[in-house]
This record gives sequence, C-alpha cells and structure tokens, in this order.
Amino acid sequence: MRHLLAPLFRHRLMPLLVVLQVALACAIACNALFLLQQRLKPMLVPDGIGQPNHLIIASNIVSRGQPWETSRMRDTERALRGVPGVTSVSVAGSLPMVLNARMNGRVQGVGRDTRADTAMYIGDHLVKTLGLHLVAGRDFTAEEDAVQNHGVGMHQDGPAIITQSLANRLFPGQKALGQTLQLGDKDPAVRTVVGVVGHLMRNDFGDGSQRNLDNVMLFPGIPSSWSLPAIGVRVAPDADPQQVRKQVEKVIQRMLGDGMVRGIDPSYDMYGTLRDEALAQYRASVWLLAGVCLIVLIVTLAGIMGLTAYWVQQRTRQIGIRRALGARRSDILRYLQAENLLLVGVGTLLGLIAAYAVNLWLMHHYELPRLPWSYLPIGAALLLVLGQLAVLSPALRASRVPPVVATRSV
Amino acid sequence: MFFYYLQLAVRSFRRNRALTALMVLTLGLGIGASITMLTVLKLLSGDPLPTRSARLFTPVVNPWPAENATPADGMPRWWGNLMSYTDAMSLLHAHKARRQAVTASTKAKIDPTQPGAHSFYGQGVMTTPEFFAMFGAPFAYGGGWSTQDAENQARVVVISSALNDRLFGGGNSVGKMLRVNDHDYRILGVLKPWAPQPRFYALTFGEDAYGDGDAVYLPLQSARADGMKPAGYSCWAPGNVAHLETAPCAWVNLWVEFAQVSGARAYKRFLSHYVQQQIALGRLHHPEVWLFSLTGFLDRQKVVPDDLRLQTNLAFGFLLICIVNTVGLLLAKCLWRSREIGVRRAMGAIRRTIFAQYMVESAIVGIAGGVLGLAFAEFGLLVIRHQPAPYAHLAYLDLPMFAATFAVALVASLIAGLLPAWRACAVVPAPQLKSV
Repeated sequence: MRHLLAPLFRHRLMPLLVVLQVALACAIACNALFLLQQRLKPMLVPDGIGQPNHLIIASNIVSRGQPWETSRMRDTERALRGVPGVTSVSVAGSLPMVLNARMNGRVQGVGRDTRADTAMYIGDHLVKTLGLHLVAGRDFTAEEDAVQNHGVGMHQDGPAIITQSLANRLFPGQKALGQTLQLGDKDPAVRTVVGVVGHLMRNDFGDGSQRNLDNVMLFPGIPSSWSLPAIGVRVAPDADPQQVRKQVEKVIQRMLGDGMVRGIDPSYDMYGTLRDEALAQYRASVWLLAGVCLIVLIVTLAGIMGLTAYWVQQRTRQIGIRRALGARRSDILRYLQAENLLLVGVGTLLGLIAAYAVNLWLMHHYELPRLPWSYLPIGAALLLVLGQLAVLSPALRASRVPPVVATRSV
Repeated sequence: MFFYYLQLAVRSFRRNRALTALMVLTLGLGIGASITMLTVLKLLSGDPLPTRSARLFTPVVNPWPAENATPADGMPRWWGNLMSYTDAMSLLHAHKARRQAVTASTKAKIDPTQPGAHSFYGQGVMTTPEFFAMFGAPFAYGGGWSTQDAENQARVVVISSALNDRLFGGGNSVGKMLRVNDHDYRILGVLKPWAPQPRFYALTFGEDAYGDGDAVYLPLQSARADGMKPAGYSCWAPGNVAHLETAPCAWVNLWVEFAQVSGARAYKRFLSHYVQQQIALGRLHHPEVWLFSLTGFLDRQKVVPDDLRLQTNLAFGFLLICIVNTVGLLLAKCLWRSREIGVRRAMGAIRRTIFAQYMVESAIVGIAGGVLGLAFAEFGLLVIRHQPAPYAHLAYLDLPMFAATFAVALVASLIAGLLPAWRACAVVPAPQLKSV
C-alpha cells in the first residue's frame, strides 16, 4: 500500500487532476443520465393501445358558437359505423395523444386518504375502439354508454374503468372491482369501478415528470356541452387504414362541417403517427442527452489516458528498477491498475457527492425530482470501468519496459 | 519575441500531434456545445421591445367565484394575464396609465383580391387604438384607427408589411379594401416590418410566439361584431360563449404603459381600489391584484423553457470538464518538456519568458479550439433548427455570438494554460541538465 501512495504524494498535481476530472465527469454524467431517464419515461410507458396503426383519431373538431349537441354526435357516430372497414367508433372528450383537450382531476377511494392525480377519458365504446386489454371486470354496457351526460360527465355518478396502476395506488393489495371512487371534496361525484385495464397512457405528459403517466380513468357516455371532441375510429385488421381514413374524413365533414369554426380544420391521423409526433420532442431530448453523456465519458477517457501516459513515462526508470529487482510484468500491470482504481475511486466518491449537490441545486431551481440513490452505484461502476480502460494501454506499455532501462541512465 | 514563441509552439504541436489534436477537439466540443445553448437561450430570453419594456405592464385580477380560493402564488401559469372583457374595458376607459390597450389574438381569413388567388389564414390581433403608439409599432404608410372608429365599429384594418408585400406589391395600399373573414375592411395603415420576439401579447393559448408576427390588426369591437373568435378563452361558470363579452369568461389581455416606471405603484393602488369597488358591487370576490412588468411576465410564463435552461447548465458543465481536461493535457505536455525548459533556462531565459511562451502556446490551442467550436456550434444550431420547437427556425449564430465564441475560447484556454505555464516556469534547471 505504501508504495502505491508514496508516488502519488510526491507528484501531487497529476493525480489531483485525474481525481478532479473523474469527479466532474461523474457529477455531470449522473445528472445527465437522470435527465435522460426522465425524458425517456413517456417513451417507455406502455400506452395500452392495441394496433396503433389501425386506429384513426379525428381531433380539433371545434364547434362554432354553441358546443356540439349530443344527438348530432350520436348521428355522426352512427354514420361512421356504416363506413366499410370500421369496427368501432368512440366520441370522446379527449383521447390519448390528443394534446389540445385534456381532462384531469384528483381522485380518491371513498373513505380513503390516498389521492391520485389522473387523466380522464370520457366517451363511449372506448375499450373496444382503443383496443384496451381488460385485466379484470367488464367493459361498460350498452346502457351505460347510452347515458346522457350532464356537461362533459366529469361531475356525475356512474361506473368507471381504471388502469391497473391507478388501482394499485388507490387500493393497494385489494381488489379494485366494486370499490367506489370520489372526485372532488365538496359534493363529490361517486363512481364505481367495474373494470380494470392493463395500461393506458395519459395525454398530459408535457410537464409531468413526477406524475404517473399510467393513471387513467374511463367514464362512459358522450360528453355533452363540449366544443372540442375527439373521435376515435377502430379499423378492421384486414382493411386499409388509409382508405378508411379518407372515408372517415368525408363522413365527418358531411355530418359536422357546417357547424365547425371556420379557419380551424380538423385533423385525421393514425394513432401511431400522433404518438410519434407527440413524442418527437422527447426523442430529440433523449438523443441530445445521450450524446452529451457519451461525449463526456469519451473526453474523460481521453484525458485520463493522456495524463496516465505521461505519468507512466515519467516513471519509466523507476519501473525498470522494479523489474530488475524481480517484479514481473503482471506485477507492474497490476500496480498501475491498482493506482488508477484508487485515483478514480476517490474521484468517483467526490463526484457522487457533487452529483447530489448539483441535483439539489437543480431541484431548487427547476421542477425536477430527487436523484434516486440507485443512480450513484451505476455512475460509479461506469467511471471505474472507464478508468481501467484508460489505464490499460499505458500500463501495458509500462509493463513491457525491460529491466535494462534501470541500468542505462542512472 | 512573440513570433519566436509561435514558432516554438508550432514545433511542439508537431512533435505531439495526437495530444494537440485531442486538446483542440476537446476544447472545440465544449465551446461548441456552450455557444449553441447560449445562442438559443439568448434568442428566447431576448427582450421583445428593448426600449419600452421597462415601462410596459400587464395587470391581472382574479375573477373566479368566491368558493374558488386564489392560489397562494397568484393565478396559475396557464391563466397568464387573461382578463374578462368587462374588467379590461373598465380599466381601459379609466385611462389611469399613460397609454393602455386591450388585445386578443385571432386567426383571420384573408381573401386576396387578385383573381385565382386562394384565401389563406393569417395571425391577427383584435385590439384598441393605442396599441400601435404603446408598443412602438412603426408605420410605413397611414396610421392606426381613432377612438371614434373603434366606437363606431368601423371596418378598418392595419396590415403588416409582409401582407402588404404579398397582396399589394409593397406599395402604398392605404385606402384600399381587404377582405377579412368575408367582410370588407378599409386599410388605414401599413406597418414597417415589426415582429416582437416572442409575441408577448399572445402567449396564453400556446400560439406561435416566434415568427413573422401578425398579418392584420383589427379594432376589437368591429372584429367581434363580424364574428371573429379569440384564440382561446377560459370560463369559470357556465355561460354563453357565443357572447364572450358578457359571459363569465376571460379572453382578453390588458397592457398599460406608464410615463415612468414609478407609475406602477400608483396604478396598482388604483387597481386594488377598482377591485374593492367591484367586490362591493358583487361582481368580483377576490381582493388580490397583480401588476407584472413585461419581462417579469415573460419570466413567469416560462418563455424560456426549464428544459433549455437545464441543457444550458449541462453545456457549461461540459465546458468545465473540457477545460480541466485541457489543463491536464497541457500540463502533461509541458512537463514532458522539462528538459527543454531546463536548457532554455540555463541559456538565460528568465521565468517570465518561459511563462509567456507557454501562455502563447495555450492561446493558440484556444483559438484553434474556437474555430472548431464555431464549426460545432453551427452544426449544433443546424440540429436545433430541425427540432420540433416553435423557435427552431430562428436559431442562427449572430455576430456578437460569433465574437463571444472566440472570447470564450481564448479565456478558457488561457485559464487552462495558467497552471501548466506556472509549473513550467517553476522548473529548476540544474536537475534537468544533469540527466541530459
């Protein structure tokens, strides 16, 4: 141990620089990786939608003056169902990946304390149209879907289907089926859980790094007094979705065209396309952060390599003497590797503290969650491996120093 | 002497090509990343009206019913500076500020008069007469409308220079007619190119905040009478949204200008007084009032996204790594040459000379890093221009940023060079010579 530490203290500057470099790289890489994971979240959350390229979403159907009448929406729905290749149609207040209309609320089990922030999709036949996977309970019945909602339907009693994630949060360790939910504190609306679906992604992931993106409730019926509905159309697996899309566009124009606001055209997209567009910004961010992490690591690798090469070169004669005194090649190699491990280890330790400090500072200034502890060992392991990689080539060169060097220039 | 140092530096670079390349590359990457982020940050945090912003303010009151409590930190961010028509008009007509204007943005359908040309949609602002004088929108021809025009709901319009170029070939089109939303409007004025970045008076509903600005400026009451809709509205009770003027909804913004910044305090008192009056009348229920300066408002609305600030911090952290890396490499390189330094010292070079020589060497690395950084920054901005962000198409390197690149590069490399140069001049010649 002493012969490992002594040279480090004799030439303090070089080891110090390696430690500093590793510490900085560790602090920044840990935080960048964490940000990367945050941006990656909406891309990784399962959205629960079956066959995304056989689902047409019509949105931005804005009514002029008064909101759309429910009867008119039902007529449109009936007309759409007549289009060949269409298996199911939903008229909803908002749909996944429709970002311009969102309904959110806080919900809790009746008589329980745990609250959850959720998104709501209110519409008919949603389970079938979106291709959701029911893991428990049942879909809404035809009678439930035929309900005449007061307003959009948010503040009224009735049945609800919730996601597994929401069920776990509200009723941990219990069956969610048959439980009752309440929305709001004063004069709350009470809903009974009749079904649980595996996954469904909420459509307000823009600012929600802390939110659980899989907390969603479905309510039946067409929202009334709503001027910004979205219509989902499920296309049969053997039909050509693009053909159906054109037909859907024609039907909606025919049925609703004269009631739309001039200047705002509805959009008709495949769900898969909408999802790609909605996540484009996240994808860009992820690439950027991944690039930054990679370059930070490469730069650090190059830096440690340069410093170690010099540091080894300077001790060529010393290494020669050790070889002459009987040290084997592997001893030299191991000695240099151990030295690197020590330096990088100290640097990483400092870096982890710095990473935490940086995260605290970021949390103070931006809406960012705390860096989970699990990131620290990952960052540490990454840097230790990096350090060993950096020292490998100079150490191998040093281990090939012949003992005769020791005799030459003394 | 300087040229001698240059020569020495070039020679030393040649000797250690890989190491030199590595230093320049590292520094270039760090500088490129930080300049790219700085350019975007500067673009977004720019003052839309540099000469006027200090005197421009926007008031906010809480029109919600009594049972909705006011959030502790003011109205929520999505609310922006929305105001109901009734409140905005009362405050406008009170004339308590030097100038005041009510604005609401809209989409305007414009029909070109030329045969065969298709109609298109342009951004529009529905506003009141003092808009142009208050925001300093410069007229190329004609002028704005009068209070009289506004009261008579006259169909008059002010158009942008871009629209004037497109429809009238850039000539003086004052007095000509323009078909907006299927009604004929008489052109009263043509603006010179004017597009504040961001369009601060239309931020609430996530419209295009960056770009070429508005195409048409219409009197609020005239446009509303012809059925033009605001970009969005927020209602706190059921009401008839076809008549937003009387519905319990907020959809306009009020902007006021004071002769001096100090006018804000008096105005806030007036605002409080107004709200107290309305509470007494039973129209409003919450006494809180806010008066945001233009830049304060932009900050509050997070015009610069947090993401971007984070990335800028990240880029500077990265630059720091690159500088430390360069310090290490320069140091390794210069200590490698201890013998050369020993010889130079023995031949009579004083410490200051050695120091200067090494600083020149670092400066050269810095400038090379700057050039490379510029290339990286241009590439980075190219990538940003292809990002799905509203400001993307404006991300270009301007002259000050160009200069800043080299300043940053030079400063970074000189800082990086200090330690190695100091170590170099501290080399004691005798032991170095002994082993030659």
